[in-house]
Amino acid sequence: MISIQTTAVISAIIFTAGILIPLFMKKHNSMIRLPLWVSSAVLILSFCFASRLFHAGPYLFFGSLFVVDNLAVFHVFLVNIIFFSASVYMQDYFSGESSVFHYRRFSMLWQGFQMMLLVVILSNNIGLTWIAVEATTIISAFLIISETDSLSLEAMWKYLLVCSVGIGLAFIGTIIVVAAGRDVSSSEAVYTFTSLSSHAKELNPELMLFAFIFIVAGYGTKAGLAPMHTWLPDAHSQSPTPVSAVFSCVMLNTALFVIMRYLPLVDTSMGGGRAAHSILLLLGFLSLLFSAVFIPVQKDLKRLLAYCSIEHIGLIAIGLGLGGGGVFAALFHTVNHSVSKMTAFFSAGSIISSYGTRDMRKISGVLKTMPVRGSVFLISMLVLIGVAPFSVFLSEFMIVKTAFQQGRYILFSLFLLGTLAIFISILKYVFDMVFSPYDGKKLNIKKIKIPETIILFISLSVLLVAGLYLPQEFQDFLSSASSIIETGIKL
Amino acid sequence: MEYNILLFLSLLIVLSNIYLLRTSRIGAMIRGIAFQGLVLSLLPFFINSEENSMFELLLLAVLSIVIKALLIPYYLRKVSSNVKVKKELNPYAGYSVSVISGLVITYASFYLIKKLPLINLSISPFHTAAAFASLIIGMFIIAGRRNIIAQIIGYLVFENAGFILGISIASAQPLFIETGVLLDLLAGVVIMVVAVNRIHLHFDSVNADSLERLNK
Repeated sequence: MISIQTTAVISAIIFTAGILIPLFMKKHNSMIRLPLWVSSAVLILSFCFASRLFHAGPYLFFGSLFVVDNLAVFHVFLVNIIFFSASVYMQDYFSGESSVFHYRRFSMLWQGFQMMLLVVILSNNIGLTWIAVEATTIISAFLIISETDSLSLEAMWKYLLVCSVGIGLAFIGTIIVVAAGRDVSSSEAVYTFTSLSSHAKELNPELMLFAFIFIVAGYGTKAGLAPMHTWLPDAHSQSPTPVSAVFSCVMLNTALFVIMRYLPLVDTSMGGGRAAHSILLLLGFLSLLFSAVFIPVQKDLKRLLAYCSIEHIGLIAIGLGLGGGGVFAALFHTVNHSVSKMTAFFSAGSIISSYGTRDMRKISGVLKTMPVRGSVFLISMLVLIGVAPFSVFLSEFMIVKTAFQQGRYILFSLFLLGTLAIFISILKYVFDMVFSPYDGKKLNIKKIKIPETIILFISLSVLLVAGLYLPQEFQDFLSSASSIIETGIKL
Repeated sequence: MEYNILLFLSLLIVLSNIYLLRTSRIGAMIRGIAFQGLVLSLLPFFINSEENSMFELLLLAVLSIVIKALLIPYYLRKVSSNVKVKKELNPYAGYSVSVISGLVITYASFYLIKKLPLINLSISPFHTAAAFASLIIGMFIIAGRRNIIAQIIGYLVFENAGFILGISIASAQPLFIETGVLLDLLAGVVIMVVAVNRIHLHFDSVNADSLERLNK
């Protein structure tokens, strides 16, 4: 069996090749097909990382630069699967209208973006984590813009400025964490998650809380938590659909993942205080509130999905903030949200390009004109708003149950009110688009291809099956991942 | 002696912040940020010299001067001559208001820094205070200016705050991390400059006003 370091080097070589090869390509088709090969290769390689984990437990590689544990593997698979699906979807999405230069840039940045997200997840060094998160912002900014639309430039500028400032705050937080670890009596330096975690009791509690505020404000900006979410609706709505999908389903979660790494450190250093959790609860509820207020006034379909992402990221943050069973539910909700939001973005993207508009008032009779995508769109939206028996319902139920069991009745009722308001308004939008009579406008429908159909149906069936029956192995995997969020990395 | 030098250097940072707040000419702002970058690059020689070897310090200082005082100002100057905007006439926050706020922010952070738990750890308390002042002044410039090149400069002031805080309270990070941070900053500014060029091409203006059609 090949060693983990070799596997990591091979993955890095594949990515580097994938980033460089478009420079020598001439046809846009091959440039768009390349990410598909790269992401499938990386998806296969990620099984090597997982198998070592299941046989021998969490491990470090490249000295103590990278760490692999259940939480990391969970997110690695999330990234790789979503990127793979988006690469499949992308094959039909781009139809060769733009210049070759545009495709070349897109292909290179796309793969660089995936690589940097994986570096964020596997990194054990808090400095490297910061560098990689900042790099994802820089790389992905140009994925947002399309050639023709000046509005996308505006979205990009906002994304770049707001997220850079946010991540700058995270830098301050990172520095304060290093300062909090200065008194630790240890021979090794404490700027890795593993060493911080094993010395968590000796860290300065006041400083850790102070640092956590900066870290949540910083990485929370990137995660789209309200009130730092201002860049998100613009960026999600203006970018090409595959990019919106990876932004919403992967990038937000990756930023939240970094917060999950810091959470147990703050907890332990404060001797089990709940202050860090309260911060997450507050931001989670603000996100729920913002989306519940803004969803009913949306006209743009992609903006609607973007606000829906803010809602779900808020729900995940609430789960994390509640602790206990909430953490398990938050992780479960992460998968559910990513898979269902991906399906929703893919079907909505096809609807938008067929109707030539994002305005929901101008879209009608979708079920009649596009039976397959229309029904996938309908089901995925129903899943997203939490209709039983799909898995999003189950994970939302688990979060709200935890809130009730902890006796937080105000939170409990706010949660229900917020999700109910969102439920009703999204249901109205979707029914108006899907079931209304078709107004006979001329459409530009591309026939749905088999690979895309397979992806859409697999995702929907996963959501249904996970809602009805969760395999014991998966539950064990999730609960060990959530215990990492509660107690820190134990090697 | 050491004490005086540290006081002097943090004074230079504070003064350059105030200068950036009061000037309306983009060219002068670029000179100001280059000067601040130069002062920052020299800071590690006076603070925190036990943990890094002299070689590492020199290497970092050279890299930092090249990036913060030469390359970034070079790109900014290029873009500002390209978009032909010399002066910002009506920022959101007027210049006298900006300067007064800057002074208040600076005074408040030098006063409040005593209350933070950080102070016991600081190698140089002046710089910890200057860092927090720069942090807020940077955000103030980003929010207060209409011109997006001026906003980039605000972002640089903000980033510099992290750098100052880093050398004044954190122990030495490995060389590759510091290099990575600097390269990230450079890449970020280059991308922003490309974006400014694009925005100028599409909107024929570099005012943040023209970028508010998406607000809903």
